[in-house]
Parts: sequence; C-alpha cells; structure tokens
Amino acid sequence: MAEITVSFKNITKTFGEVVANHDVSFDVYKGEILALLGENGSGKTTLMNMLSGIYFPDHGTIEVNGKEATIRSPKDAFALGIGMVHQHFKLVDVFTAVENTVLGLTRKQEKYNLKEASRKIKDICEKYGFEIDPKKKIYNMSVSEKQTLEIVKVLYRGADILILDEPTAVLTPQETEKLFDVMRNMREDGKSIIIITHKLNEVMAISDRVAVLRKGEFIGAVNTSETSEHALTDMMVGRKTTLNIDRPEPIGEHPLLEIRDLVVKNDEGAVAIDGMSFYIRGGEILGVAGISGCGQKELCEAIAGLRKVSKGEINHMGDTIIGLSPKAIIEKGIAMSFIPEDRLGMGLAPSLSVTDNMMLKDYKNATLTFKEATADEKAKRLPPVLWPFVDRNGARKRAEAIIKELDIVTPSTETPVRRLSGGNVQKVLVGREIQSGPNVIITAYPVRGLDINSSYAIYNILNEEKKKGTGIMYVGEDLDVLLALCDKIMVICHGKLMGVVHADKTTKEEIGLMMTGALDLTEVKSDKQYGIAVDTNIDEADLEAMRQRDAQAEEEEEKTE
Amino acid sequence: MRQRIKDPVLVADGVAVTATTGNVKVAKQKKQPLLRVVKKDRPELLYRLFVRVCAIGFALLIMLLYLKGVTGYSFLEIWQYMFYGAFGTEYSINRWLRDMCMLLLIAVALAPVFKMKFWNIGAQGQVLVGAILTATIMHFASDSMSYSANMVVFLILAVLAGGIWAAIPAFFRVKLKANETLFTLMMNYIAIQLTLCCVDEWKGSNVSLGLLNPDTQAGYVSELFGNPYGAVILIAAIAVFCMSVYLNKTKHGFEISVVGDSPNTARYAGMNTFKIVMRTAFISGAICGLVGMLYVSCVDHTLSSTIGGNYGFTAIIVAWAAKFNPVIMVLISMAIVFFERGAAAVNDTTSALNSYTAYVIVAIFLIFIIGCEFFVNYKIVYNEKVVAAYKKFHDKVEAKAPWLTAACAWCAAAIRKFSMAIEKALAYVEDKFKVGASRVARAAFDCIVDAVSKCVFRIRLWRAERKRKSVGYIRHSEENTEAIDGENGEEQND
Amino acid sequence: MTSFVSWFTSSIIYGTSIMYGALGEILTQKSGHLNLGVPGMMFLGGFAGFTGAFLYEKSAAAPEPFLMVMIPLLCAFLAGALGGLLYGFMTITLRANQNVTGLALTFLGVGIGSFGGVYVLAAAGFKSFAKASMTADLFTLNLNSVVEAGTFGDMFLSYGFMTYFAIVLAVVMHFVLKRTRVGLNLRAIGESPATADAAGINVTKYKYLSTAIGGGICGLGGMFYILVYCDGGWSTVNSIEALGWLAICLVIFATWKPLNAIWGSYLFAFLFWFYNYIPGLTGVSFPNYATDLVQMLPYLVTVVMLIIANLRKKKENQPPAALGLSYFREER
Repeated sequence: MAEITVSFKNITKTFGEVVANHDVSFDVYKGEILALLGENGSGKTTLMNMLSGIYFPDHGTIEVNGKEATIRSPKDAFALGIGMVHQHFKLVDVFTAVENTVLGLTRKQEKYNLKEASRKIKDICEKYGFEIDPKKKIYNMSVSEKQTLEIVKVLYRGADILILDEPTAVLTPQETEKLFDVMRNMREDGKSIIIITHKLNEVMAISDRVAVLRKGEFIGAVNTSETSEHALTDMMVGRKTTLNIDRPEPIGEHPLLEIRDLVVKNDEGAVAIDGMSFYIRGGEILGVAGISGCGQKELCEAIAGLRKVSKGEINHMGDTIIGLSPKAIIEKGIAMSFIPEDRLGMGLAPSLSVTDNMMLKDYKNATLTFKEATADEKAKRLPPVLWPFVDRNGARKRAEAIIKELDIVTPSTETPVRRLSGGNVQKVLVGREIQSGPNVIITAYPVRGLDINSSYAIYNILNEEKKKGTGIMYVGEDLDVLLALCDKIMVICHGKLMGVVHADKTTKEEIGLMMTGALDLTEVKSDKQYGIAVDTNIDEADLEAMRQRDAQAEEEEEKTE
Repeated sequence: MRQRIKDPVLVADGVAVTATTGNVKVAKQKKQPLLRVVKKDRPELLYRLFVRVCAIGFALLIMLLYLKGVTGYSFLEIWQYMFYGAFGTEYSINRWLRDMCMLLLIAVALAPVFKMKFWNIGAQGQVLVGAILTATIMHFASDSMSYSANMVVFLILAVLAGGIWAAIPAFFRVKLKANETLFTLMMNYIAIQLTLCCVDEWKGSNVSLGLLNPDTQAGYVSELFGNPYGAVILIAAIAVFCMSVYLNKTKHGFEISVVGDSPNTARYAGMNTFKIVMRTAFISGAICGLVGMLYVSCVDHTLSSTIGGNYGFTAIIVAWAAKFNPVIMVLISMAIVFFERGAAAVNDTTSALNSYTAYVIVAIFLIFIIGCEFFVNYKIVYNEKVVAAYKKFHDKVEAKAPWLTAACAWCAAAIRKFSMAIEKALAYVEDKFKVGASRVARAAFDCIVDAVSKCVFRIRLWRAERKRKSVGYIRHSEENTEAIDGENGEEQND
Repeated sequence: MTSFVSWFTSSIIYGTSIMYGALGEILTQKSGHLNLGVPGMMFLGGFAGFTGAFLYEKSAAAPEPFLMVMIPLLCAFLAGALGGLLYGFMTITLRANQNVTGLALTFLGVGIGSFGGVYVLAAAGFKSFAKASMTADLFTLNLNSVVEAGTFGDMFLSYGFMTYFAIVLAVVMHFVLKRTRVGLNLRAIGESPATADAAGINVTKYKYLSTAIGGGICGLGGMFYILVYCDGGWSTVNSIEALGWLAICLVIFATWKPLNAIWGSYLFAFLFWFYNYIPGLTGVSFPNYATDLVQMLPYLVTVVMLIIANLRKKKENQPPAALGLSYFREER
C-alpha cells in the first residue's frame, strides 16, 4: 500500500454566496500521477489553490505527509514541498527566466547568485528532459517555453508534490507527449503529480488514478486501469451522456459569407491565418476545429471587423466587408453577429445591467422594441436619429422577453451582468445577438465553462437559428460536440486550412490528424474517397463553377417564388 | 487562450452558505492571524449610507477635537462659530453658495471623464486657461465691447481653451497610451506658468495685479436675482441637472459608461472609442474653462495662479467620492465648503489659529471619505480566538446587566427590520414602476436639492433685504448676526 | 565666469532637493504605488526638520554639532515616513484609489506644515520668517572651505555632505534594485503583484516599507531645501510644493531609474534657473514674463518624455506594469 502524501478532509470553501467546494475528502498517494477530473466550475482549481496556499479553506483540514498543515500562503506550501503550475502563468514579463525562478527565495534557502541559479536550472533541465535558456526574457518566449519554465520553477524549489492546472490547453500534441514523458520521469523520481484536466483522453493516457469532482463535491476516485472514458464521463456529468444533440437537416447551401485567401496577422506580428478560403452557408452550422491558438481567435475577429486583415476578401452576400470596422458593418446594415469567446471582456459590459447590455449595439436607434424575429424585418434597421436619449424602456422590454424565452436566472433586469453565473451570462449574450436577426452568426467557444443544461440550451438556440436559414460558424474545442452538432467541420492547423469535411462522414481520428497537421485534405483530396466537403481546396475553377451553380440556384428560387 | 472563469456555477438555487471563521486548527508553532479581509457582495443601500455618514461623523469629531484643543473653546462654541461663520450673514451665505457652486461645477466637469476611467487631474490647469483667455480679453478689449458681446466672447474662448487643454492629453492617451494622470498633471503646471507669465507682464511695476477694469467694470458679470454670484449659482444648478441627465439618459452617457467599463466591449459594439474619449475630455475641459471664466469675470475680477484656491484638486476627490453621481457631489461640496468657511470663521475669532486651518480640516475630511470606502467594499472576518473572546465579554456583560444586552439586541433587530423594510419598499417601487429604485431616488434628490438650495438663498436674500431697509448696512460681526436672527418677528414698515 | 559657476552650484543644490524627492518616489513607484503626495511629504519633512533644528538651537545653551545634524535629519525622515505610512495604510490595507489618496495627502502635508510653521514661528516670537542658522551652517560645511581648490573646488567640492549623500543614495538604490534579492522582489511586486504573491513574497510588507522609506527620503528632500537652499530660513509662504511636482516629473523623465535621476535633477534645476543667469552670461536681457515661460521647460520636457517613451515602447523604459493598481489576493 503506497503511503499517503496529501489528504483532504471535509474541505469547504465559499465565495460570497457561491459554494466552490463542499465537504471534499480524498487522498493522494506518493509516487503517482493523479488526474483531478471535472467540468469547468466543478471546483478543481479552487481545491488545488487551497493546497498551494492561494486560498484558505473555510472548513476542513489538509494533511500533508500525515501531519496537519495550515497552508496560508504559497510560502507555506513550498515549505511542505507543494508546488503548483497555474493555468495562467505567474511570470514577470520584463524579467529573465532565471530571475523569475529565484523570485521569492529567501536568504535561508539560498544566496542570491544568478550564475549559480542558472547552473542549477540547467541541471534540472538535463535531469528531466527540458530545454530552457536562463537568460531569455519572458516577453520573448513562446507559450510552451513559459510553461516549461513554470515547471522548472516548481522543481527548483524542491517540490515533491506538483500540481499542474490544465497544462495541455496551450500545447500541441507533440508538446503534450513531451510533457507526459517528463511527468513520467518525475514520477519515477518519487514525486506525486496532480494534473487538473477535463480531457478524458489525457486522463486515460497519463494518470494512475482519477479523482472526479462535480459541482464542488467529490464523487469518487478510481484507478485508471479499472475504468473507461464512458464511466468517467458518467461520474463527471452525473448521467449517461450520449450527446444527443439534435442536428436538423441543413436547408440550402446558399453561401452567405465568402472568405477568400485571407491573411491575418496576430498581435505579435506573426501570421495567424495563412491564406484561408471557405464559405459560410445559410441554414448550416460550420464547425471550426483546431488546437487552441491556431488562429481561430484571429479568424473570428477578422471576420467581425475587429482585426486588420493583411490580404484577402470577405464578402457578405455580395457586399465587401473586408477592412470595415464593426461600426461600419452595423451601419451598412449587414446582419452578422459575433459572439466572442471573452464574454465579459468583450461581448458584454460587465458592470452594466442586463438592460443596458441589450442595447449595446443598437442604442443609437431612437426606439427599440422587441420584435418577432423574421429575416426580412431584421434586414430593415432604423437609421440613427438625432434624438439624444437612449430608449431604456425598449431595451428593458427586450431584456424581459429574452430572459423569459431563454430561461435566464437573474434577480432583475437591472442586475449587473458580471453577477450572473457563466451560463446565464452566455445566454444574455447569445440572446442579444440572436434577437437582432442576423443571417450569419460567428460564435467562438460558446459553451466553454457552462454546465450541461446551459450548453444544451445554447445548442438548441443555434439549431433554431439554423432552421431559420441563418449561417453559423461554430468554433469549438470539444470534438464530440462538433461532430454531433455541426454539419460540416473545418479544421485549422497553424493558420492553414486542412480541409472541410462532412461531420457525419468523418471520424475523430481523422479530425485529430488534421488538427496536428498530419493530414492535409487540401492536398490529398484526389486520393480520399468521400467525406470531404466541397469547400476544401477551392481553386479558381471550382470557385467559378460554384458561383455559377449558386447563381443558377438563385434564379431557380426566384422563378419558383 | 483559456477563458478565465469569472463566476462559479450557482450550486443549489442560490442558497447562501456564509463564510464564517477560518476554522482550521492551529498547528502548534504557528500563530493565527487575527482577522482576514474578504471581499463583499454589494451591501444594501442603508449600510452604504451608514458607512459614509459615520465617516463624516468621525471627521467632524476629529475636527472639533482639534479645534477645541487648539482654541480651548467648548464644542458648542466652536460649532456656533462654524455655523455662523458659514451661514450667519448674507455675505457668508453668498460666499458659501458661491464657493460650493464653483467646487461643484468642477466636480461635475470631472464626472464624465472619471466615469470613463480617464483620470483627468488637470482640472486646475483647464480652469486656468479659461481664466487666462477671459482675463486677456478683459484687459485689452472689454472696454470697447458691449456687455453681451463680452459675455459671448468670454464664453466661447474659455470653453474652447479648456476643452483643448483637456483634449491634448486625451489624444496622447488614446493614440499612444500615455499615462493621463501624469500628462494632465504636467499640463497643470504649464498652465500655471502661463498664468504667471501673463500676470507678470500685465502688472508691470506693481507688486501685484489688482482688479481688472476696476473703474468701468467692463466684462464683469452683472447681478442675477439681486445676487452678485447669481450667475454662478444658476449655472451650477443647471450643470448638475444636465450632467445627471447626460450621463444617465443620453446616448453619449451610455457610450461613456461602456467605454469606461470595458474598452474592448466598446470596440466590439462598434463604438468609436477615440471620438468618445476626445469628446468627453473636451466637454470636461470646456466646463472647467467655463469655471475659469466665471472666476475672472464674476468672482475675483482678476487673474492669479492660485485661482479657486486649489479647488481643481479638491474637486477631483469630490468627484471620486461621489462615485461620479452629480447629485451626491452637491452634498459633498456643501459639506466641504461648510467646513472650510466654518474653520475660517473660527480662525477669525481667535488668534490661536491661522489661515491654514481650513486646509488641514478639509484634508482630514477627505481622508476619512476616501478611507471609508474600504468598509463598504470589504468585510473583516475574525478568527476563532477573537470570536471566543468576544463571546466571553458578551456573557460577562449579560450576567451583570442583562437589560443592556437585551436592549442592544433589540436595537440591532429593530435596525435590521427597518432596513429590510426599506429595501422591500424600494424593491416594491422598482417592481411596480419598472424603474431602477436608485433612479427614482436620484431624480427625487435632484429636484429636492436644487429646489432647496435655490430657496435657501432666496429666503436669506429676502430677509436681508428687509433688514437692510430697516436696520441699515449690515456688517458681518457677531452682534449683527444675532440681530438678523433675533429680529425674527419684528415687522417694520416698508 | 563666476556667473556660470554660481548658476552651476545653485543648480546642483536645487537639483539635489528634487533628487531626494524623486528617489523617494521611484522607490514607492517601483512597488506599484503612485504617490501624488510627494509635495506634502516634502513639506512635512521640511517643516519637521526645520522645527527640530530651530527648537534645538534655541533651547540648548550649547548645542552639540552632532545632535544639530542628527535631529533635523531624524525629524524630517520620520515625518516623511509617517506621511508615506498614512498613504500606504490607505492604499494597501484600505485599498483606496491611489491618485485621490495622494492628492489628499498633499493637502494634508502642506496644510499641517504651513499651519505648524506659523505656530512654531509665533511661539518663538517671529512673525513671518525665522532662521536656524547654526544648523544651516553645519549642513553647508564643505570641503572647499578647507582645501581652497579654486574654481574646480567651487564647482565640485563646495557642497555640504547631503549633496554627496544624495548621489550615493541614488547609486545604492540602483545597486539594490538591480542586483539584490530585495530589489528583485520589489520590482516583481511593481510589475505583477500576483506573481510575487504566488512566489511567496510578502507583498504587503514590501509595499509598506517602500512607501514609508520612500516618504522618508522625500522628507529629507524638503529638509535639505529649507536648511541648505534657503539657508535655514522658514517663511510662512513656501515653495516646497513646487519642488514636489518637479520631483514627480523627474521620476517619469528618468524612466524610473535612479541613476538617471541624478543628472536629470541637475538638468531640471539648470533649466529652472536658466532665466536668472543667461542675462548675466550673455548680456541678453529678458523681459519679466520670459522667466515664467522658461520655468515651464521642465514640465514641457517631461511631457515630451511621456510621449516619446510610449512611442518607442521599449519594455524596460515603461512604468512598472502594476503602477496605480491595488492588489487583493482573494479576488478571482
């Protein structure tokens, strides 16, 4: 029987009115890799923050190596040999790697000598298989280098118990494999590693045991060898999930948004989107799959007008919208909605009430009344009038209608949105965007951080829109959801389009391969038999043919009307 | 990029499990901290009011103690001096109203930019440039222009000058992300130097620049409603009302609140952040410029670099403490000027103090106002030992004087019930009329305060007029203060 | 030539007062706190230093030189440190808005200083001006009077010990910030308190210490101004406040580096007294108002610095990233 190194006993933690952890008790053994599994909001990070001294439990005790421990600060945690690598790196940008590593060490622990520290860092790197340049400044480092540095920091302090919070969120599959190798090395060395994650495949790949949290409560701990992804999902979610997301038949394939040869640069000046071309068609959900950071954010922002485009064309039903600011797009009457991944930081104004957020985009109209959404009416928008006042009453009616329709839980229409829970925040955002009657919706990670019920509500909303003929681009990270919900899936890898496939004719493996760049359907198209959507590998000839086909379809439609 | 999870999922339908004390058992060697600080959910209205009132009360207490210590008078005497100093004679009321309105105007000017999180601490400089231009015209050209021409020219120039002075830092803040706190501060000092330059040039060989146009009174703002500062008061009242409406009900106000809350969201919503910031900064500077004009042509009739006696800086604190709400600014500036005038009055009557007393008193008051925010936003959670000690104390008191504890408990319960009732009433009103309760209260406040301030000075004016007709010229000394108040019922023939 | 020399020496002395203020503020700002109360703390320091010296001189029958130097030093440092502590308490523990608190502190400092000054003067029987001459003499004891090294001596050796001490202080500060653990921790707190906290640094302790010590150093600046530049004279109308704002300017101009503050302060002082000496030196006479325009130069120069610094965007020349923000750990 392995010895217990950390033991949680009846841990409870609340923030204001919300219970983050409730009566959590379990053990961690020495020399094992324990996966702490749970959905977003299940309390995993809070629990680990208490172990590493960032928060302090309201009730309950933590025992380390058999003795009760009061961990009131990260210093106490380090003294006990506990070190945490956070999801959001705690590094000072203008310092070098070695400066960041020795930050916070006291004279008792070691003398301040940067050369000596550099040498020690190099030793650690050699021992476990990392690569770090001690003199490099943080603002010059890539994301995975920063994460490596975080792990080295923790090892430098002699941690025996490491906590990794969603480490693979920002890594490519190769980097993830490297990380797993390092973790195995550390385990051989006798260290205990707790990895917080919600990715089942990683749990099955690397961990020895799995502890599952759901909604702040501890559900159970099992040996990885004795369980399966399905069983773990049950524990995580509480019921059998066959993801039965409806997928209504796509209506017509009338393209609403055309993107051609798009080149977009990211904030650091590197190319984020490298010559992509695709369509967003009405009545269809186009899923976008790709590893975090492959350019999805830049793509969405470029289409919405929030980011400068270096080259290419974006046409909305024939109108060129490339280079237009969001304001110009709204003024032009183009009915396109962008639901950003940063809800409270971009999509909504957090301190303003629900009512105020409802009129965020069309406050310039003299009157706002909540109309039944039909495509034609939405196309007509009131021109800005010289009336100085905003129509709060109209906005309030709109808010009330949306609250009722989408079942949003909020004390009143005047509550600041930042006080709502994640699911309700998203519902407010989605509700507002939908009610403006767009015919193209671009949404990025809409169900990130939401509980199951809210997620399904969002899927339903999107499906409703789809039935009305709206074209939806859905950027998501959960491949199961993408496969179930979307009609077509477009895969991006490092800014390049790897292919557009029909969701019902592809597999997760194929998409995974495309995501890592191992499979490029735009090149092997001729070899592959089916499943590839017509948008893959569009060249001029195809384009012409497509345009002619669409023009013909339009004519036929008009004839039949 | 992972999104940070800001709000954890509500577990059981909003059931509150309140955080009490940190109950972890103490490891033998470690000392438990005495208290922890925990961020609060927004507390009720009454509690917020209570904290602010307490702060003012404490400041008042300290001030009285300080004055008592230095002068040796009793509390009552000091209070009387202060009160009469601020409100005793027509002159002092006018002075109080005038100072309050100037302070209020600058604070109102700062409200929109602060709401936009643009920390404009260059109000003093913007006031000065407005004053400079006004004084220039007065010095050189007023004699040859008609009264209305003067006023119009002053207005336009002062407003433009102040607006541009504020727009320059705004431009660099938007385009280059330059720190506007430091930039506007520097603009202040540049403006002060410009003022000194003008003053030096015009005073020639005199020691100081006296009144401008003392003989012709060209460019002086004439009396309004029989009050030499009537224009100031009127403009201030209008400004409070207009700014309140502007910030809360107009499209511009909405844009300001969005840009201040989250510039990303503003960009996403299609708002032109650059235009909004520049426009708001211009408006703020423009109002300050107007204040400068009023100082030169209505109040001081001269130019100096210490115009307004640092109200430019005081107003910053007023605006901030009032949470950018113009109506609360009225109350705060009333209080500050009251302290100032009162302290000056106490100073006049004793030789133990000096003219800097007011400075110190206002500073103490401001510090309390600033510090009390902590108690509104955060709550202190005591650890086990403190709670246990308190319980022991409570039990001891109970054993000796049970009626005391019972009375305290009853009072506490009554207050709680009362505040809950008020909350309920406000919620009911809100529900019934579908209007934010704070908005109703704000609108009501607006009207009441405006009406009250207008009435106050009108009443005083009227009474003083009556006195003047019967008693003769009023000097502001103690006896006559009593004369005015004492001769309440005595009717005189007109 | 003497004109130039006297311009030089008076600039050095005036500059030194600004330098103290700037060094103190750099220390405070490195910890992430923007303390606009520098004028107030300098005023307090000047007042406390003067009062200590004055009272000791008047009361002691045979004042001891050592005490005559130490008392004002201690008083000034303590007074400034108290001001810094008040600011620290409000912004660190009570988490109040830093700009507003700093301004209130300026009011308080200037008010208490002025008020106290009148009081002290009145108590000693003076109306509007008093001098602590013996102490002032001690502070201006210099090498040149001993060595008599001619012009060179006039320019570089004729200052009291505080002037050299200021330079030493700047160098020490630079060394501490760049090459010691304490300096590293402090810089980390100013850039990212969350990171420093996670690394186990006691953020609160560092912040308190740096605001208090920074305030104390500012206080020394005020005292230096009174005792050396004004020759120990205190009048009821004082211009220490302007020094404080110049010091804040200097912090930005020096891009938060103590070594830059050294020559920056001399440059500012140079520019400030430009008008006084140019006529004598070049025979060009300026009208009265030109002096005011020229005195605008330090502020203009700072504004230009602000603009340029942001244009070039070099990370090392930016203000500490967390400047002006309060840190609260329990925040999600």
